[in-house]
Amino acid sequence: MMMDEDGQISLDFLLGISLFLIALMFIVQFIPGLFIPGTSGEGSLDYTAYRTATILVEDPGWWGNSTSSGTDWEENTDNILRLGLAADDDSSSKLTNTPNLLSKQKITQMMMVNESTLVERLGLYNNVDGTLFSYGYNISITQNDTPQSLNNTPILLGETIPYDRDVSKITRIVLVEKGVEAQFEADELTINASEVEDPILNVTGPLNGEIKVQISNLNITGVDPSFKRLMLDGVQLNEGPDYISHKLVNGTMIPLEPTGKINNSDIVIFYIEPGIFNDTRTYELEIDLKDITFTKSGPPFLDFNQYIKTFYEPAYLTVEVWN
Amino acid sequence: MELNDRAQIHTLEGLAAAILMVITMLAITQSAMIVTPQNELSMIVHQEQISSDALTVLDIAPDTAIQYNLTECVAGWQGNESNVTSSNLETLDNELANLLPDIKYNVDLAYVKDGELNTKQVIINGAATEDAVVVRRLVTLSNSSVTSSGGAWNLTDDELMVVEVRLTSWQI
Repeated sequence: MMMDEDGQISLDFLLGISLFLIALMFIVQFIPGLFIPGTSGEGSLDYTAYRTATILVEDPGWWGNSTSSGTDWEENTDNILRLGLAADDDSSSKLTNTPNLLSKQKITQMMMVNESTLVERLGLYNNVDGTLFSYGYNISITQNDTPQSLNNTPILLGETIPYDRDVSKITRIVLVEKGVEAQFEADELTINASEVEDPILNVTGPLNGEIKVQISNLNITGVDPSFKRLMLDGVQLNEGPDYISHKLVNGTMIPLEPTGKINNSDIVIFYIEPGIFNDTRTYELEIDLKDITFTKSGPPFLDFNQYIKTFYEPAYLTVEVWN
Repeated sequence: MELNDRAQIHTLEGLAAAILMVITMLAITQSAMIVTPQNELSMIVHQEQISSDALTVLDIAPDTAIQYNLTECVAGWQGNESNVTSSNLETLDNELANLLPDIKYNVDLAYVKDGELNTKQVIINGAATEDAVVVRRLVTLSNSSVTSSGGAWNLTDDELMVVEVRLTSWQI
């Protein structure tokens, strides 16, 4: 029997087009988000990111056992019920007056909490028919796009953000504790009798975090009033790795160059890097200036620690969550 | 039985097309970052959240964090409205600009004086777009806070003034 050619062609064409369609279906399945923008599945991730960021920023957290409870979970890390970072001055209050102001101790403790507690207490998992799947997450506190350091560890939790997945991200503005600052009027500072241009401060360690020293109302007595160097117990500190110097001129911060002249209306500011005053002892910090004089002589030298206040800086807390 | 070779070509074409498509998709997914636009709702939530955070942070900030907090900024208001060329409350404007990079905003103050609701524009950075959001925060002024900030609210000693700070913000 002779076969009909026309029939064969359409049959093989059918096979060809089927293969093509199978490939097309495979691709549609392969990348679900490609053809349907904003699927419903991503929504729950948005909520998770939002909830996590809100708990961390606005809640001081909670711990409890059979006898007592409070918001100072950073002191009772075995019985954490909720993780929150907001600073709280009254640990029995259940809420805080200062949302968005983060406590350094709480951040430090959160970095040390183990992975499973963190995932569980922040609710970073999905419950599908009784089986728990934890989300991928990344929590960081950044300033100018660089993670902030706390005791030389960057504040960064979780995994690297995958580039091929839908990631839900929320950013919150927070205030983080950076260290301590002290503000001095020039006439409060003490000098060692013969060196009238070199005020000395007694700094008692250990002091963690950044240290900010501000001096205002300088008494200019020569033609080239300028800053020379900082000495710690007779050893010169290096500008850059050890400290940064600035002057505040009409509200604007300008780096203090060795040649730049200082006016008596300027406020001189030193930012000393963390780790310089790590030991438990008293350091002698000498500020060497030129053509700027001080009158009050020591010893005893001015006690830096009596002037210190905690200082905060705005930063961004970012929570990113993915499946 | 005679076979027809033409039919085979269709099958091979299908196969070739399939392989090409798979290779193309693999190349795209492996090489480039896929940016799926977040849905509109979550973008608005994010915008509201970060704007509200900016006002909260300014309100609760201790002196060692931000020099003038929200109450001090508002208390120092001289009483005149802004237009596009001259802005009031420059301190507040600078502080907000630092906290909200990439976001444009206008600020209005709303308060009740002599039984009437006043709404004054104090910071104008442009015309709000359609997807702008508004967040609010209340500050309370007294005569002493106004005097120490050098404002012109003219409050009596026993008077308290509650002012609503309205921040309209939008993404650029």
